[in-house]
Amino acid sequence: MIQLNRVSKTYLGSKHNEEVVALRDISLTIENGEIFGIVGHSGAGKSTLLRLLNGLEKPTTGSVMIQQQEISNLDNESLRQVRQKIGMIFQHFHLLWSRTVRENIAFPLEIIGLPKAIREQKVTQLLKRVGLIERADAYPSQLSGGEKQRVGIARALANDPTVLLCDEATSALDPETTQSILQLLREIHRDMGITLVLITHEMGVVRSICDRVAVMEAGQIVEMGFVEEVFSNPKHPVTQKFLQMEMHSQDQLISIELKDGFEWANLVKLAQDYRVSLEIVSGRIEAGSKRQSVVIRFIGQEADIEKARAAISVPSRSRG
Amino acid sequence: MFDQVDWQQVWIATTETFHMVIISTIFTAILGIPLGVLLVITDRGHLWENQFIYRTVGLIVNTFRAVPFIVLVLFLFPVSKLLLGTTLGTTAATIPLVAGAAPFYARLVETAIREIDRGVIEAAQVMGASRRFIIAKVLIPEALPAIVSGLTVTCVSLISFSAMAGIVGGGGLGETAYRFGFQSFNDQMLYTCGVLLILLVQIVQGIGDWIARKIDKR
Repeated sequence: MIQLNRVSKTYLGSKHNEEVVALRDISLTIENGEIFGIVGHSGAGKSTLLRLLNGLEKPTTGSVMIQQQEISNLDNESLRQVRQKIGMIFQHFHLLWSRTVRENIAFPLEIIGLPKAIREQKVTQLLKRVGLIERADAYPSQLSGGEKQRVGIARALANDPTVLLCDEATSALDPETTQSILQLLREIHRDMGITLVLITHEMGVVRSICDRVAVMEAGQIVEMGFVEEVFSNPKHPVTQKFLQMEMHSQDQLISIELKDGFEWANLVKLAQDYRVSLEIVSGRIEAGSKRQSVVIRFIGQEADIEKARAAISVPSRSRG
Repeated sequence: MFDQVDWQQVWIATTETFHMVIISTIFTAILGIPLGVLLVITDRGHLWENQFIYRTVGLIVNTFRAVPFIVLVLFLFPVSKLLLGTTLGTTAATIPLVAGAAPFYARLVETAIREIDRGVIEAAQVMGASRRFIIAKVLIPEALPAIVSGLTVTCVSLISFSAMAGIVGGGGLGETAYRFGFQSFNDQMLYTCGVLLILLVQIVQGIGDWIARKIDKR
C-alpha cells in the first residue's frame, strides 16, 4: 500500500525568497494491486508526485509510506534497498546505449549482485515475457520505440518489484504501439498482481487501463475516484476539459452534407436506430434551406458508432 | 637522396618518442579519467555534490592548462628531480608531458560524461545503484566512445609536446630533428624526422578512430 499523508513540496526559486510550490497538501492512498492513474497538464505536479514514491524527491512536509515504511527520511543505503523493489519506466526509456537488450535487462540484477548464471536465466524469462527474445542481442539504437519500452518494462520488472511507476510511458509512442504496451502492462498486472502507478496526460490511457484516477492541477488533486465515475460524471472543470480533449483527438468527427432525401430528421432517426447520441460540433440547421453541411460526432458504444458511421457513408456515396 | 640520413640515430629517436608518448599517454589516462569524472559528479546537483572538491579540481586543471607547455617543463624540473632523481632523459620528460596533458584530457572526459542523458543516470539511481556502481557501469561505459576519441586527440598532442620536451633532454624525433637536422645544416635529417612524426600522428589518429567507431553503439 502506498500512502501519502499531507504531502507538500516547495522548491526554492531562482530568485531569493521566492518559493515555487510543486505539491500542496496531498493525501492519497493507493491499494496493493491497484492500477492508479494520475492525470494533469505539464507543471501540474504529477511528475513530482511520482518521484516522491521512489525517493527521487523528498517531501518538504508530510510523509510518504510504501508498504508501511516511511521512505522520506531513509538513509541512502535503506533507500537503495527500497528502490530495488520499485520499478520505473520512462517516456524516453533511458536505456544504456552501450549495452545490448539482454545486458540492459541484466543491469538491475547486477546491482543486487546476482551470480551470472542466475542472471542469464532471469533475463531470458523476462525477454520471453515482453516478447523480445529474438531481439536479445540488438542494441537500443536498433530498436523501435515500442521495443525500447518493452526493454524498459523488462528491466523494471527484473527484481520482482511490488510497485511499477510509469512516467508518461506511452507518450512518445504512436497510438497502436501505445495499445500494445498498455496490453503488456495489463498482462503483467494480471500475472504478478503488481501495483501500477502511472502518470499521463492522455485520458485514453487512463480509460483503457486504470482502476482509479486522480486529476491534478497546480499541485493539488482536484478530483479523484473510480475511472467509470470520473469519466461519466466529471465534476472539476479541468477533468471536463481533459475529457473533451480526448474526444476531439479521437478522430470521430464526421462531416455530412444534408440534401434532399437525407435531412436532419433522417440523421436523428439513424442515430436512434443505432443507439448512439448525436452532437453537433459545427454547422447549423436552418428550416427551409435544403443544402447545408454539419460536422457531427456520435457518442456511445464503439461498436454502435462504427455501425452508424458505416450507415451514413452508404447513402451519401450512392448519391455522390 | 637519403645519403645524409643517420638511420641509426633516427631509429633511436623513434624509440625514444614511442617511450615518451606511450608512458605519458598511459599516465594521462590514469590521471585524466578520474579527474574528469570528479569534475562531473562533484558539480551542483550531481551524484556527489561537493563544491569544495569541484572548485579545487577545476582550479588545478585550469592552472596547468594556462601555463605554456615549454614553461611547464621548466616549472616541473624539481618534481622530476624529486620523483626520479634526474631532470634528464626520456622518463624524466614524461612528467611534464603528463602534467600538461592530463588536465586537458580531464576536460575532454568531463565533456564526454556530461553528454550522457541525465535520465539514464536517474534510471540507474531509481534501480538502487550505488554511486560507485553508476560511475563504473553507467558513466564510463556510456561515455567510452568519446573518452577514447579524447584520448586520441590527447595522444596526438603528446606527440607534438614530446618533440618539445625532447629539446630539454628527453631525446626523441623532435630533438633529433633540431639537433642533428636544423643545427647541423642537415635538411634530409630534419625532414625525415618531420615526416616520421606526421606518420606517427596519422597512425595514432587512425587507430583511435577505428576503436571509437567499434565501441560506439549509438
